[in-house]
Amino acid sequence: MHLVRQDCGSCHGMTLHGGLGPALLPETLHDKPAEGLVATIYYGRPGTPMPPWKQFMSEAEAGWIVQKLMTGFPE
Amino acid sequence: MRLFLSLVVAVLLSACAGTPTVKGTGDLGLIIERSSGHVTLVNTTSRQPYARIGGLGDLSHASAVYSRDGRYAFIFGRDGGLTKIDLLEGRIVKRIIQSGNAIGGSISQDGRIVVAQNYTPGGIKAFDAETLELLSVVPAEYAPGKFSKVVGLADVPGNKFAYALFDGSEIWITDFSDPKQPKTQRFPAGTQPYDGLVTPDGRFYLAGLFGEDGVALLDLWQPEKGARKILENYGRGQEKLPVFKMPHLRGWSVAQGKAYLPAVGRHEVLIVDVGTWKEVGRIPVRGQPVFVMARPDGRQVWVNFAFPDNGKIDVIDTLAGKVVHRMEPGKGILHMEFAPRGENVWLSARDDNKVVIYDTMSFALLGQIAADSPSGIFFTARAQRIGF
Repeated sequence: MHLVRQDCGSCHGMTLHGGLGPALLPETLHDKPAEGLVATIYYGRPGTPMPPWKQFMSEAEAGWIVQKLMTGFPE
Repeated sequence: MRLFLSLVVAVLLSACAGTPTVKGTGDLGLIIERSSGHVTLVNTTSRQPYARIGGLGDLSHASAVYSRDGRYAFIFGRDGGLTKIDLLEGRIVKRIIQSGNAIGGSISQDGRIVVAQNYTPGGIKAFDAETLELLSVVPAEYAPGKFSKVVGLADVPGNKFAYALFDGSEIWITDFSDPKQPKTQRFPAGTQPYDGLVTPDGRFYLAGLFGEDGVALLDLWQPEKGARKILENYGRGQEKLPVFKMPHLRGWSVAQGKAYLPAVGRHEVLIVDVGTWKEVGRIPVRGQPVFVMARPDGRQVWVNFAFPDNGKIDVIDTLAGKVVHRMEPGKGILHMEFAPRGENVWLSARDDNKVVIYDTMSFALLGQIAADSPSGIFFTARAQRIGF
């Protein structure tokens, strides 16, 4: 949770309202497939600054982050 | 007892009757407390905090610039807040919300115009430094209907500002000689500029590129020549390491005729000769560099790192051309600021909720200041420097 707020936050904003990276709020994510978002976290997105986070988490943990983001990430 | 009381009264009376304490601002500064919307005001002589101000909104990635008398700080918050603080009285003078999503700002050569750089809506906005009244807006519309996030805003001589368009891949120079009628020149830069800097003499603007290996260089004395690429292909086609936090550039990277720049996707600091703009070396370090900051005398360059190496600091000796000191001063080292003449350095340790102060000669810990998730540290000496 701390990782998401602070380290995802360095590009997506600590409140996840976006920065250099897009906002990660339920209303901006609701129309995107969860599997794609999990893959984005786990493998990164080539051609953008989004790096792969697979060395720090499992795919299941990436899935947990996506689920939390889509329902509103806890404070 | 009566004598004692009358003495106390006499002391109190003289304190009231006396003139208020007169203070300068040259040894003041502030620490951003990113999570709680506070700033702590500090004195770099006593190395102690002296006031704390709240109510500044979302201060993640917040930065500050100073009025030229060093009395007022302008703080740019992530939520688009622009707050003017009086460092002597320790209070908010004025606060406005100027955009939806901001990433910093700058102050003009004459100190009269404060400019904010914005992600949403992409562009820059100019404000009267006295009143924070909006003077003009320059949308970063690089193609019809397409707006770019703005990065790397820096004040340059002539009441101009240089900045780069992350999505537009251009460098723009906007002239605010007439603050309500700004004029903008555009220069192709390269793929995804992520930040920029102006050299301390105000002549060259550099934009670091994320989307390709290289740095765009624009000679502000001869802008008609356009931006050219330096440090091209410094990665030599090798696969990049993942970058878990964007590096930052500022004029502090220039020391002893050389610029020390973070490589993107490589655990190296690149050295460029500022006379020829050729690479003259590279120094391996312990992570993806974020800030590469020269001590004001240029003898040392201090480097901090992106996650997961953000508890480390490497110190480069510019004479030896290598790392001479490695330290782990705390968890989540986000930023550093040198005392005006560099005898000590203040480091924010976000996850330890403190700022630690080190002697830059002996590397001894001199003290620490409690702060709630501290990030940026900004001293008033910035008021007198171009590009800060």
